Amino acid sequence: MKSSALNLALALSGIGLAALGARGSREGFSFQPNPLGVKGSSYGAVLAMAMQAPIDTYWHGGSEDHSHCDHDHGVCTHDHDHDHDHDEEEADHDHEGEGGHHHEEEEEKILVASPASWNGRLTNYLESLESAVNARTNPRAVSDAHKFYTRRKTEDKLRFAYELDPTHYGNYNSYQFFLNEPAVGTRGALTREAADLAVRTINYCLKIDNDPRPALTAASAAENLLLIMFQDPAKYPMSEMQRIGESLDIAMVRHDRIFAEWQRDGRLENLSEMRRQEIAERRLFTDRIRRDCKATLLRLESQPAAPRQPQQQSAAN
Amino acid sequence: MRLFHLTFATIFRRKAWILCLLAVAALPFALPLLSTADENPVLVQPARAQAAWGALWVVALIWGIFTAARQGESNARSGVGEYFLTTGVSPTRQLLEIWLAQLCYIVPLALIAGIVCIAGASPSQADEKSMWLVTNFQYLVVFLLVVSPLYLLGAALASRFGGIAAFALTLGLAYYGLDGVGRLENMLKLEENPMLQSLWLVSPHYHLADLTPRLEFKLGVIPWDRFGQLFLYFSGIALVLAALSRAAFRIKTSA
Repeated sequence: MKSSALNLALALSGIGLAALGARGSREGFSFQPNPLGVKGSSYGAVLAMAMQAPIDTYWHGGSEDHSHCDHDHGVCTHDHDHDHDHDEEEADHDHEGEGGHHHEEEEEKILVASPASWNGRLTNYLESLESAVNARTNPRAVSDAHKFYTRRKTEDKLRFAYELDPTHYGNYNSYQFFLNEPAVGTRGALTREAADLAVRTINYCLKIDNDPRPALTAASAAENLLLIMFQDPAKYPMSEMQRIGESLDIAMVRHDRIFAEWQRDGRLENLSEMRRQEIAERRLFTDRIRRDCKATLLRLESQPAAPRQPQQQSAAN
Repeated sequence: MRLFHLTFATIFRRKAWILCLLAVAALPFALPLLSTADENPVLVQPARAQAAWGALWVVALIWGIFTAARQGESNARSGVGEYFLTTGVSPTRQLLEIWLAQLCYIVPLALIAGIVCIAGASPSQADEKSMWLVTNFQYLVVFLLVVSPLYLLGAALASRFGGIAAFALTLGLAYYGLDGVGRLENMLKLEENPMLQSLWLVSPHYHLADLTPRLEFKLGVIPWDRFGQLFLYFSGIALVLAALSRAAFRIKTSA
């Protein structure tokens, strides 16, 4: 009896203490899953790159076209460019020349050793098995519902890949594209969410000062944000657009500064040739879009002020 | 076949196979409710197909390899192996009987996964339905061809190194073949490395046996000539693992 009373007293006092501690800590109980702190870590960055393969699989509906493999000449080009013009997809996502939606473009060449060698024959054999397992033989076209399913899965994986590494240029832009384009995304028009993603990415990337690549992602995010604003300029105050334009300039300057530092002290040599080339291509593309954005900003500034809507909206609020 | 009966009865008595049966039979109907498929009923089929085969892989690799390792270890430690040797059952035959008893549980589980996939997730169009049936059959064949030799290996390694080590090694090999090889390939695309390239070539490409995307995206049947190549490739790996298992298997632990 005494023992039960003691147990009961302990249990009740424990509950009371826990309730006292939990009072007013509503935010403390919100759960942002990040097991082992992978998201945002350097391991997350590697996993984010590894996610590109499954994302690519879902985007292409599971099939991988190896018809461009020229095994006789020992070259197999795997093009993971999301700018493919897929006839079976509703949206034309060939966005070269358009601003903001720069998709990851990775031309990966597997240079196969001469097919006459043992290595070459075995590699070709494994490649042929892989193409047999992945090739589409169903003559019936993909149904609309199935397309929706694969787009939804792609979007979910893109979000996860972005969370693993918010500074990754390709994953961020691909996810931003899904939020910007209701024809491709599966959750309707999400202008606020798209703008919030861009703002979060700018803020996150500009905190990193030891790598030139996040600054480039921040510049790309600023461009995406400006493009959202340019679609309906009357909704956003000019000062807001100018502020984002300044962020874009800051990001580009920071990228150039850190890149120059890396070149001087040899840290750039730690990156593979493919990665260095990737940085150069992205910088070139981002700079071109920056010039276009600046030109549009100048044009909007010079226009007489249009009658404003009663409530000014800020993309960041 | 007394060792076969003994092993079969031992696994049956442990009753863990009931959980596996429930997982393979029930999860395909429960898991899609946790996915976005519940927002749109037509999205349930691909999710169900994925859940059916996914549950089977998890059960076959974790429970299957663990059970095989446990049986291999107990055969060597408990003296049962020595006893059967005195009655004229060779080590190779003992390994085979343990393996066959294990298969008596995995093959029905695989069949159930296939039936769930066919009955619960078939496309509505008649031509796609026949493709679905054949794809599931192809999947069943390569799945069993990949998973069965791993049980041989698990049992054999366990008889020599103990159950836990054998479980870890065999599961590690399976995971490497399913996932690690693909990551190695991605690394090689970024930077060439002759040593890693050679490793990639001789690694078991178990991911080729994961035909879940073919069901999920309704890609159709693998052409039979290509399927024959796949069958030969995995048969080759099976023979290599069988040889290793036969060499590693012991009927008595030294300690």
